Amino acid sequence: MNKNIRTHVENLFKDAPQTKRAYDLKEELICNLTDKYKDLINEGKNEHEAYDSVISGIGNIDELLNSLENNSAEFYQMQLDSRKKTALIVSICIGLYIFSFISVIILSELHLPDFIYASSFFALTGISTCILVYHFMSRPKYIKADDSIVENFKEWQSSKSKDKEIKALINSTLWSIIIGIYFIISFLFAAWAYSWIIFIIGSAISSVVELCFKLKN
Amino acid sequence: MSITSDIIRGHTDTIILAHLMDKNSYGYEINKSIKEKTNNTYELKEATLYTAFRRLEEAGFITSYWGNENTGARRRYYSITPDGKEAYKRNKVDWNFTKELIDKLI
Repeated sequence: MNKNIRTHVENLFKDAPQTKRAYDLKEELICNLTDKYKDLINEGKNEHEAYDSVISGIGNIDELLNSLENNSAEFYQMQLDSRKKTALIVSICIGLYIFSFISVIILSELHLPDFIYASSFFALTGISTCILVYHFMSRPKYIKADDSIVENFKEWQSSKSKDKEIKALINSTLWSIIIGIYFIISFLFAAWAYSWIIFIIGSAISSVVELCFKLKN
Repeated sequence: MSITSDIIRGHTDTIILAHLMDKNSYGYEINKSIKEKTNNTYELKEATLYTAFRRLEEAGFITSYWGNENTGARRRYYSITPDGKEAYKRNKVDWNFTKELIDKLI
């Protein structure tokens, strides 16, 4: 009969979200119902009477199950909002990158001194890089909905992919800056014979970044 | 009897808080003591009881922890917080006021 109580409660919870909260509630309920069942048997009821009395005493658990659902709805809304924010920031930053090239073209057409359009290029790429790095560093990690293994795995995966994202971001920024510096120095000083050294320096810096991430882990 | 149940249901939270004022307890123990105190005339449905626990926990009036019984299943115990004690006192004052008022009216 104890098994029947468990089966009955498992059945009631079959549509409940698969979370630790729901699982805990189910176990708590089974434990308390079993205690009640044992007491009724000790009072002299037969197994069927005791079982029926326990089951009818549960009542309608819809409201209880709804309270479990609400939480997960709230959680998904949070995830959705954070995704929207990321999309907005990334598009603004890509816009800034594109604009930095356009600004160079426009300013060079105006025949202003070279350093003006060079600095506008670096200022704009710098700003958008800062925004991107700040956003991804400060973005909340995937927050566990509960303590289940699946959620732990998702959290672990998210912290891994966050590192990857930052690394890719630093690398792409690094190389666009290196190419920028290469052309500017080459054109300004007509130093085409030596300026290729910049690429070697660049790959050294990128290796150092890689090393920093390895050491951090 | 159904009217009585409705009135009692409105005070489920206070009834639970009252039980936790004495000592930490778990679901079945609270319900059993309600049954004993009312001479087997009233007992909460499990659904009502656990919904109330969740509500009280979210309001910060009670906290829960798992007991460490050696015998099989683990029990979840509840204990009242200072906020919960405040809420209990407030509700009791409200109830006494209501009781006197209704007594005068009916």
